[in-house]
Amino acid sequence: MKILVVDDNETDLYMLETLLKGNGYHVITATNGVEALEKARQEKPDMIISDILMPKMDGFQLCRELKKDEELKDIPVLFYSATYTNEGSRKLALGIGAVDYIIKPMEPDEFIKIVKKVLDEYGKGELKPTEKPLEEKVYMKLYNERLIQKLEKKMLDLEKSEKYIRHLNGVLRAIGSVNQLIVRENDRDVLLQKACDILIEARGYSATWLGFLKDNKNFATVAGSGLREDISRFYDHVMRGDHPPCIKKALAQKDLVMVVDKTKECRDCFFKNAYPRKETVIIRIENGDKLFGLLAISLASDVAVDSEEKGLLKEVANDIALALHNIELEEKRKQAEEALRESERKFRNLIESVPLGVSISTSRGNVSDVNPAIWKIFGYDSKEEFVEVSGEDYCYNPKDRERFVELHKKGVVKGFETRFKRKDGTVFWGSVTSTTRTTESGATEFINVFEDITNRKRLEQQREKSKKEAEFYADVLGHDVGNLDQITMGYLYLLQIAKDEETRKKNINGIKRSIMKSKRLAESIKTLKIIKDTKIEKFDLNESIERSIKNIKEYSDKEIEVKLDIDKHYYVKANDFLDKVFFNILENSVEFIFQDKVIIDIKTEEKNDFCNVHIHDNGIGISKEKREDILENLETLSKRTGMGFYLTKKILERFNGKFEIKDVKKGTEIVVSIPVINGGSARNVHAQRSHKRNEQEGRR
Amino acid sequence: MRILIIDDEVEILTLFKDFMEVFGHKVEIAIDGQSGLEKFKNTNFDLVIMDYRMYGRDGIQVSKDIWGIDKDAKILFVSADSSIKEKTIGMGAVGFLLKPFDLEDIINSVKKYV
Repeated sequence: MKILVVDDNETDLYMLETLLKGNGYHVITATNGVEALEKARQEKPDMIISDILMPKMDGFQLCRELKKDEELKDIPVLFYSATYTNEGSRKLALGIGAVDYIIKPMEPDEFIKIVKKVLDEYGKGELKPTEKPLEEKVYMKLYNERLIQKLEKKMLDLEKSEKYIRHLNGVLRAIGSVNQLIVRENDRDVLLQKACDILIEARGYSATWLGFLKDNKNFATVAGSGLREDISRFYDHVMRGDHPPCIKKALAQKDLVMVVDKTKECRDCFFKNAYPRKETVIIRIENGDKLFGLLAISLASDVAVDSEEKGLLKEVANDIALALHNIELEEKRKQAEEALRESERKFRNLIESVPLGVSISTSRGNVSDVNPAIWKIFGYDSKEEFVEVSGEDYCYNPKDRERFVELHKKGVVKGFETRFKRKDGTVFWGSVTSTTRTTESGATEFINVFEDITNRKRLEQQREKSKKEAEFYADVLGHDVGNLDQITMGYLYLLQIAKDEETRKKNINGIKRSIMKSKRLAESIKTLKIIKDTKIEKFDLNESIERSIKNIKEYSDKEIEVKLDIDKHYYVKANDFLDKVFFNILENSVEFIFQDKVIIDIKTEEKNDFCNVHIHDNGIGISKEKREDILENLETLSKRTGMGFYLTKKILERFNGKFEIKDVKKGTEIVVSIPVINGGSARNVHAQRSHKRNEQEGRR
Repeated sequence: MRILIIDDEVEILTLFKDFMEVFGHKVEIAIDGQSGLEKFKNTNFDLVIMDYRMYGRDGIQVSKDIWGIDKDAKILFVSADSSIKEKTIGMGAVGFLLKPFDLEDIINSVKKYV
């Protein structure tokens, strides 16, 4: 059996062809009435199945032409259409001779059943037109009515879809604007309000609100557009966590988009007036696991929410979520950057203001950065000037530098103490602490901290000196007092057992000397303490020597002869304590002479603004060993020196003077040097006189 | 008895010397370790009386030198510092006298140790 299928819709045509072929029919196809008429004439099909609405010639006209053709008029025509679905169309179809009128779509089995029935009846010759063929006038009337109806529907459909397209375009524009907004807006609140406004302005939606959460259920901020005064009441509720059911549901659910039927779920909707439709669409704004907020929209009353719309809304929500995510990242980045800047600022401030010098150097020793303190410590005028200077130039001791470099190689150097040179060449004690760090580029850098420890060193030296002084006092006093005690005890014992007056007197004098010595020991300690604060004045040297000679003679019971060779009258830069110097030296001479008669030569001479007083005795002398001991230990100060020499040294230091122990063949010679004020004039008669008097006294 | 006294305090030396000579001892004195050592080399002494603390070389150093010359030399230490008693005895000194002492203590010591 041969069937001609006519349809302008290729898909429908293909489907019908496949269906019929599958059921064993031979199928010829045509895509419009004109083509169908031609093929019918050529092929003489057993049946024609035609669509109605087609270009060039529609189904009704095709049927009319077929029925006018004598050869074709008996071929059954079956209409199959989706367009003309009302009774008028059916009436027209049957009126022009069609066997049946099927409305698309129809189940395939049913369709084949009808086709089979028509063909069977046609084969048996039973097929007769059900109705009397319409008259031409009636046909035209009916046909025109169908045509108008068809156009009206087309117009209506077109209008509807245009409106829908406009709406979707609006939504797309809104998405585009929101996208642009997202790209340029970094402020969350502004983003929120503007996104709402865009969604309304783009004419996509009639009202909308957008809320951002601060945690899982509380909003940080809410904005709306197109909601008029309703928003403030909504805002009050929502911000205190009193959420309407739609929000509760949206917060709890998994789906991105939720359509709420307000009439069922929330009778007291805040936006009853603002939302013209009964549905509200709430979209979760989320990125990954993070729910940022909710977007609610209400569409215009005549636009339905379909899957395409939902897809677009998801897109908007995703974009906003992404923007929020980016804002959050940006905020975190800004916070981190600010924190970094702040810490850098603090670090920089610290580095700039600490009194410690800080330098950053490369592993090769090149200085890359320094703080102001360091170049000031080293006495340079600027950072640039200091950076130019190499390590060799400011390290005083090259060996220390080598040692430091070695330590440096091992890593951390703590409190390395060495001497440094300033720009002007002066030397100071400094301490360096150095640590390494790896830079971003992977290079090793040294951070060196310099401290001027001159004061600390001075204090340390003073402390060391004080400690030594204390040790000295303990030693010397222990020794001297011990001896004095023994001498006193000895004379006391002898006094007890003395039989004659002369012996008693001798022992009593011994005890007296001991007491005198104790007294002088105490005086010496006091002198050591105050000597550096005493005033220097114009002091008569000649008289000082004379007084000292007189005192030593009174003190000792030995016979003392002093030979004076004074070249002139000296005034020196000194004070009363100079007497102690001479007395100490004379006492030393007297004590270490075991002969009964002590002979002392005193001679003066002027040399380089100093008066040198030579004091030479005829005693046992000071052994080379002991002299070296005294001289060696005079600087560092110890018990090996003894109180007498130490005090002498200290007093003379105050006068900017000094003393020497000369290496002489016989006896001891000590030379005292004191700065003179005037060179003196005539040979001093007074000194000569006193010389004689001393001699007389000495004899007595 | 031949006795050598080493002390850096002249007054003590003369005091001890005068006193001990009354008891018939032959006494030599030295003002420091070096001159004491010289005297010890030249004469045989029955006893050396030595101050522990002296300017210059102290008693410990000098006693080592003396024992270096004569390991049986008898040395009696005198000092105002009681803390060195054990040390000197430990080294081999025959006795220790704590300053200040009565002069007769020194005579008793001579009797005791020699």
